[in-house]
Amino acid sequence: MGERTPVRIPKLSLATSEAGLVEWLVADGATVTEGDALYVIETDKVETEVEAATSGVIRHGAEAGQMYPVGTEIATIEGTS
Amino acid sequence: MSIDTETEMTVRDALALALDQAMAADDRVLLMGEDLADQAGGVSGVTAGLSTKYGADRVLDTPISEAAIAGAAIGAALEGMLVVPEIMIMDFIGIAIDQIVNHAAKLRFMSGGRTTCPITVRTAVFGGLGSGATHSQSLEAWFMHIPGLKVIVPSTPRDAKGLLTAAIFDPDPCVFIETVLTYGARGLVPDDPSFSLPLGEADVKRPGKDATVVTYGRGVFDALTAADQLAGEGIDVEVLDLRTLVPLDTDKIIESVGKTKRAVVAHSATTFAGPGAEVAATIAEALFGELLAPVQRVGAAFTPIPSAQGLEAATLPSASSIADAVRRTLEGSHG
Amino acid sequence: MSMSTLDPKASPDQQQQMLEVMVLAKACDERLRKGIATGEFLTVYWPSRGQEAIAAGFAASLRSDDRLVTTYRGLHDLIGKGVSLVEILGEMLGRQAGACRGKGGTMHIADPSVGLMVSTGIVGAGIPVGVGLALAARAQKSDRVVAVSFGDGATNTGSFHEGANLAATWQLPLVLVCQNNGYAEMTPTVDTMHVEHIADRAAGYNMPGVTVDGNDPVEVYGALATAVNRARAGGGPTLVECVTYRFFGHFFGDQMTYIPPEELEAAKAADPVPRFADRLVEDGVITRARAEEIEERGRQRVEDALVEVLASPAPALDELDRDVYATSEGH
Repeated sequence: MGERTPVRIPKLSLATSEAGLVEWLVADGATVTEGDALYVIETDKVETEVEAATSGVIRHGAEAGQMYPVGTEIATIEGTS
Repeated sequence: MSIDTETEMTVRDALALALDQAMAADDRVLLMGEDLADQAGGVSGVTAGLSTKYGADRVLDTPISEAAIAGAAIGAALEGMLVVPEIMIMDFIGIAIDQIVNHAAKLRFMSGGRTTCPITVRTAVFGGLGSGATHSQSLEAWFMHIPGLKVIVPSTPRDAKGLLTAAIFDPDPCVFIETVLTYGARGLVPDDPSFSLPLGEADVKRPGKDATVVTYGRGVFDALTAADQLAGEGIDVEVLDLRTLVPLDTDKIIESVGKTKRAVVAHSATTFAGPGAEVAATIAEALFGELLAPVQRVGAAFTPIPSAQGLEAATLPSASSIADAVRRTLEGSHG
Repeated sequence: MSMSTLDPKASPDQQQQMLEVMVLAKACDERLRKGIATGEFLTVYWPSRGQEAIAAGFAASLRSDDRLVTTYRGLHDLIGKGVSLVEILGEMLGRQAGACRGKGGTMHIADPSVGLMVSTGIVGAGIPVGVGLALAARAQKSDRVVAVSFGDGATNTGSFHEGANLAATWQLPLVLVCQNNGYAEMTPTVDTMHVEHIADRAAGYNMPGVTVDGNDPVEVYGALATAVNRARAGGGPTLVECVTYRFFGHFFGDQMTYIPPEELEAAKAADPVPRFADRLVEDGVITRARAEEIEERGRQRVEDALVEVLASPAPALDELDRDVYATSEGH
């Protein structure tokens, strides 16, 4: 059983304190590789794809279509090492 | 053997004495500012003779560059110099304020204690001299509002000497506010060169039992005059000289007003959002159920300070307006 | 032993030293941006990616006891001056292991033990502080020199002009280093001043001014060495303008809508870090294998530092009571 790495909403701009989780790009339970695009967030009308920091199996922890404060844990990736 | 004697002198002389003795005692003390060196000796003469005695590399004449004066003082202080930069007239401090607020006040905290800034910014209030709105302001409230600074406003010659000495050798950045109208006030100053007063201790300049006037700087003299007037009416006023606004001696304030149950706070800064508001709130929080009257505040009117003599006098506090405020605390009171 | 004068021509050892600094700064930047972009790290960051050659020049030209003042866009400068990666990353990530125990953050990293006296968040405000540091060097009869690092935007502030004038008038041991990356926050530099070269401003203070290719560490070093020598010998201040480029806008996350895409692409294509590595290999200063080893070592050093940083706790709340004043009874 590998390490569980949290996936958190990033702070992509100086003035940003929250972001909208627009959509998941990978399904719950999917295996992801470091660098894969995991989800899309929106801040100030700009959409950005957020990549995986590590590899493993992703477990969704939050719903798309909602605003979350920067730093909110929205998923975990269970490492396969 | 300690030196017990005292000499009578003016506030101006006491400030000059503090600077002279500090420079003699410690090579790290460095003065910098506009026109400080001889033959000018400073716009009010406070630094007269010092550049001749200690050299032009310890009493630095600067260009008209308040931001650089403050910034350079800070840089030198980071290397352990005890720097006393002067901002000639307090109204000019806006040009230096970025360095004071964003560097001097904060470098100790932001660096986790790795760098410190023992500067003493001397500046002078020119209010009451008809100089007009850009050469008359009392801006101490700006600096009270900045964590990391100490704010000192002396009244008597003894306090001027003792507090300036303490400020120069204090490890924290100090804003030391002189008042030109008080430069000529006379009083006794200890001759002991090491005479210094602790920062953060208010001083009862006149004990009394009926009301406390909490004040500082020029207000102390006006309050003492008011107290004499009121004594003739059978009203016994205690005058509490704050001496330092940060650290604020809240214990002494509460002790005094706790005894008299009536308070007037007086200063030459504007009443609105002035230092008196902080003192009044402190008194109200601590003594709410015990006060016999609401705290009165006496300060400058909320206008730019006019130049014409009568107009200017009407905007600034006086012994008379302080006495009126004391009488108001006694009207219809329950004591 | 410290040499009292530097040879402005960088030796092979110095060139290699400079490449190591550039590679480390690049590796640190890349790891930080990856962490921030994925949500792994929560921090604010003003990237200096693209400007590494200037920091390399500091590393090769400044003594350990010479002072450096820098800005919020100072990651490369901090590395060049020798602040430890653990302290830099620890401070940016708000940990006790940080240079300032988490209280200063990205913009305010200081390590006086290696001469990094102040990082400031106020554009232009470092110049007067540098003047004071230089004043103290003279008062304390030290031959140490002070360098102040700032951007093109800073040269429009009153603080810059006041400080430059004072440094020149008092002939202080100061090196003013302008990292002209073409943009002041989000405005092209050309729209903010009427002079073509920032170094031309030096003439206004009757001080030497020179413009160099800020992406060529050898050229940067040459100008800095000359300025440091002049300052240390009592010859007064110099304004060194290093023309460079920043790859990621003003702050990390900046959409850079005000930057022409072709300009950005051209700058990235001329990336000074791999370009310098290639040059050193071509010149026979290092082998390709050594260049790759330097790359790998840089990445590894960053990862090793992060292990230590991420194991370090956030500051305890009682830090609020410390360092506001010298003693907690200060207020």
